[in-house]
Amino acid sequence: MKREFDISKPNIGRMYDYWLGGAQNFAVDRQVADAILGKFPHLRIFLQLNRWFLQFIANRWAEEGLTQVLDLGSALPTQGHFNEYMPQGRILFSDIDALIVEHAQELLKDQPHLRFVQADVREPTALLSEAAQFFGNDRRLGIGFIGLCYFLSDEHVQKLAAALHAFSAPASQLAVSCFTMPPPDSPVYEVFSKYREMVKIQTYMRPPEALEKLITPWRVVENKSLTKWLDLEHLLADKNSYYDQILGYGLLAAHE
Amino acid sequence: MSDRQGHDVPVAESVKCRFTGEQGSLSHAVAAALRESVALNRSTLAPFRLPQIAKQIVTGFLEFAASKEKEPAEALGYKLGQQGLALGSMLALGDRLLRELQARQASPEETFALCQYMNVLIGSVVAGDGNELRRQRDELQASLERTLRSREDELQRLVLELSTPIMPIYDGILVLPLISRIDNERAQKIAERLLDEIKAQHARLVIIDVTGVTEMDQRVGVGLLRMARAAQFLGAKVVLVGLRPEFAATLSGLDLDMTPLITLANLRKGLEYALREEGLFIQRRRPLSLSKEKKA
Repeated sequence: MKREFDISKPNIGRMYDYWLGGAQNFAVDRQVADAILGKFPHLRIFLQLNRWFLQFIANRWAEEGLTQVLDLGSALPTQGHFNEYMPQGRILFSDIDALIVEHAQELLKDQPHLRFVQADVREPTALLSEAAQFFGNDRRLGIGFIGLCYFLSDEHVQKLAAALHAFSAPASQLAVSCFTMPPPDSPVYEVFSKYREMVKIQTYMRPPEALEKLITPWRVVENKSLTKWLDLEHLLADKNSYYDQILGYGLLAAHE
Repeated sequence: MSDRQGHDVPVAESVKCRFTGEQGSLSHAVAAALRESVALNRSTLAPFRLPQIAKQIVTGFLEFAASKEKEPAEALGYKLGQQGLALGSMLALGDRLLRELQARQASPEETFALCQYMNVLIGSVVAGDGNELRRQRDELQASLERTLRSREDELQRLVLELSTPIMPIYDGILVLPLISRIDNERAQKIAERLLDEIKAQHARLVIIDVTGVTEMDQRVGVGLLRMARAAQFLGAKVVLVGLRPEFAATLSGLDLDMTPLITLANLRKGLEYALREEGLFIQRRRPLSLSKEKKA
């Protein structure tokens, strides 16, 4: 029996859509999303930065003629996702959440150049066999690994990066976003720890250099803060006094 | 400057003349205002598009001032609203543009033109934004409805499946009473289950009772025949009972070889036939009075 659209419980994919300004959500989602936002008002800006980074990369890939995209941990394909910024793109989205997958499949119905599959990136084999089917022999890919890697342990990131490298062809690109841990003596550290406790999901923050090492087979082209990528450095520096201590950064790497 | 007093053309013309050279610096100022308020927008709108949007807004203003035509400004505002530009961003950039014009000693007419332009633009941004959110809601609703419908279909299928019992009534004899509507898909499912059951129970005869079937088309008729033939291969005869006249007409219209299928009027006749085939028959017990006599 399908479980899609369980509107009695909040769903993280629809909450995400709400935080990004969308209308693909229900009252139950908004209620919880607002409660979380009440405690962590800057969550929204971090999510926005991730989405804007994704759009920036999508636009760059489109300009470079890179049209095939494998996206990991996509959430709903709404609110300016890869498909909106790469209208010529052939895109395979994925997410671990069955509800998100089924909702997304409804949204992408009748668009054969867009597919959405359920996948656990900690065991990439299944996803990559889907990808092999979808992309065929043309394996020059843009790989979106945005807003996801802080949910994966070092081992899992390493394994995934290696598998993606082995799967994709030279001239492929990998875009990753991640966050650093705030220093333990900073006020944001406590707020942040509370957040981790509340969402009950293990998170892995890591400095940019550490992430570079984890994705070793990929050659890092650019690695800088998300606000720098987007030319929006005023966002966290000005108003959010201590939140700039959690640095969100984006990394673009190439397959050679 | 005397023509500025007139109401017809001159206002706009003069604005165009004075500020066209400053399009670049005005765009720059507007872009800065948009960047400041970037977090208000829906995340659909990529920040890297802001400079381009600033340019369109400034160009739009200069053209509006010159022509006083509302339509291009409306179209631009609507598009920006759809893309996710927030009302707050519009207000901020209107404020910024006003300051820029003041710094350039704009005339009251020029300032008025800007106010008119911003009104048109903001009105259409709101309309475009509202329309986009409605579209998303509609999309969500449509998906939800489709899901509910498919869930309903699934439940119905489940009910139908559950209402297709295959009953062994005697060694080697199965009865399959069918009810409600039979479509091709259901007929196939029934056939699969029946063939499995024939094999499992070593059935020699199957009675399919279609008295309760309300709807059946030609394809289903063909399906029944195919099922009967397959049952024969497994060593079981198929007896069809309770056929309604309209279905009889449907089946006879098929121009197919009906020999694998034995049809009888009702379940009772079917049972009698089946028992006879097994060398059995139904007999009334001897009257009670007789046995009493024996005892005595």
